[in-house]
Amino acid sequence: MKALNISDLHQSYLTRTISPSEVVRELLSRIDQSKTNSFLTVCRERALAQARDLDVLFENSKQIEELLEKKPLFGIPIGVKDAITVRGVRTTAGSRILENYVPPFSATVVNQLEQAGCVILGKLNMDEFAMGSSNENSAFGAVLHPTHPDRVAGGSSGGSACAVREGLCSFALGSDTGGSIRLPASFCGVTGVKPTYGRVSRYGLIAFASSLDQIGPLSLNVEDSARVLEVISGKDPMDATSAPVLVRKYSDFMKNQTDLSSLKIGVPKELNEGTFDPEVENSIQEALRWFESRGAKGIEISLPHSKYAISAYYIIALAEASSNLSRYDGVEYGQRKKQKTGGGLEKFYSSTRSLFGEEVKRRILLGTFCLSSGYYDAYYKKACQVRRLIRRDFDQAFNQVDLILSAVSPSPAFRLGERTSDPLKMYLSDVLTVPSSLAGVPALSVPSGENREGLPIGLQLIGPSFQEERLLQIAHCFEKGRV
Amino acid sequence: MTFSGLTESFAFLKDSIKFSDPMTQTNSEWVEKMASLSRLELTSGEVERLGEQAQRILQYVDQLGEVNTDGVEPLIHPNEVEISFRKDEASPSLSSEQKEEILASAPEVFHEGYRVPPVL
Repeated sequence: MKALNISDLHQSYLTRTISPSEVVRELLSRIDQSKTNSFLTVCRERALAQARDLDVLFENSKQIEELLEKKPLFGIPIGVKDAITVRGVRTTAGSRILENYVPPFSATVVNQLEQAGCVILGKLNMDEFAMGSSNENSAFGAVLHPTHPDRVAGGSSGGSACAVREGLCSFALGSDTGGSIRLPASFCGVTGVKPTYGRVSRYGLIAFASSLDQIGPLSLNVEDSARVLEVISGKDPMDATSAPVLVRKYSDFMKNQTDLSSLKIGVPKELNEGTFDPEVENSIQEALRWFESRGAKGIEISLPHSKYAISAYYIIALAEASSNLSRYDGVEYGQRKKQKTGGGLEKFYSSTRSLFGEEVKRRILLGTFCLSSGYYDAYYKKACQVRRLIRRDFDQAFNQVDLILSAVSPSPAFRLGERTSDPLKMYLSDVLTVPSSLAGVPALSVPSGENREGLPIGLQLIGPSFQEERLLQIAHCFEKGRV
Repeated sequence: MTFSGLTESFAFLKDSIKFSDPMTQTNSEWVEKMASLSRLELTSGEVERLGEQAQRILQYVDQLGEVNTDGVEPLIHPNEVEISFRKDEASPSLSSEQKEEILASAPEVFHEGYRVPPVL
């Protein structure tokens, strides 16, 4: 089997050198041998059955081209972050409290991808309820970095980034609340896209912070992310926050030469000054020079409120989390802690909820505080006002420039255990990704190089709302041009 | 620059910050109160750790106090488009078709319902 990216795999199908079942069997055996802990659940029988169905289509099809047109992701093996439901497959969200949860429905994105011909190999490890930047908060153990096992894979979609990089699936779904797709993508050296808020249905995504959560792809290259995004984007009657905005065929924007000479790239001084690992800084500077050498114009801009983004983000995200996670009461689904009879209803709830991990408890406590009587205005409302100012910063910037460029993270993948004892330090890992999350605008991570130790560095490109096509087109151009 | 550098660069903020809770609660009392509001059972080790960490996080986010937000409308949700309502039409729900599948994930089941321990 050659490379796992979509067009190479489709090429192999076109020449009939391999069948969907052969691909799936090969990857299931790779997953068995993998030591990175990226898969939490492997749905072997389900995947093999799906692949056999595709085999039948494949064998009966005289024109594979037609098949690939009807099913644009035909025979593409994927992994799904364990926060996204797949009917009949255990879905834990990385938490003990959902250890035995088998959802009776699939997320809209999962239905769309299966309809398009994908085969789901299994569910991918993540920080518990997507709360973390290193994947060390999973109740089922950390994901190890795919090339440097003493390092973190990044979080919270660490299993997704790692599995793609390791060659265990063609692409993976992740979710991004404050950087949870982009950060692990940059740490592991793959592409990751956080779409505009509302671009992709959240139906079936286990909620962390509902005004920020967004599902997106992690893939081997930009083109593949575009091909996935054009399948999963669009209005969904099951998600009132999904937007009725036209979905373009994003991958078409990659077919022709792109002229970068009229491109205006904003370089926000607040996201690019002072606080960087020097090798990351160099890599980002080089990326900017590459664009400039193709005629693009780098323009220094200001996002003056971005230094408050971490504070506003954590208040809003934790407040929403404390509300969303109140549903885990041990009655309808999930685990219940064994307890003696008596103690009252509150005791029943609180003993079950002690199954949450420590980071989740910390966030629920802080979120409850920020929403509590007497503190609501000072914390939650204030943070939402600052969120408005951050959004205005982006609106103003996009009057001036086409896209914004920065690093994804101030440092490459850090060591396992390095930040676990200091939650605030861990939260600051997201300092470059949360401003765009608060504004709701699309952003992606594309590999821009490696440091001396071979650790990947990610370039972040941020675009105006619902202009994914331009963002992907430019990222694709950068990726191709730099090979 | 490393991460310790990054936190240092925010260090100037800490001088201007007071602990968020004006009441004379100790960290442990604060945690226990919030834990009770959130229906969370904590070990004594957790009470201690979470109290100390929560205080540091709240001190950090108090930097928002420097931002002038007079007259700024809070942004609660990034899509400020009008939410359209669907027609109020009955359609089959999951539960009518998949009772067993749904109940299979419940910790305890009694006939066609959820079973809970006696709490009174």
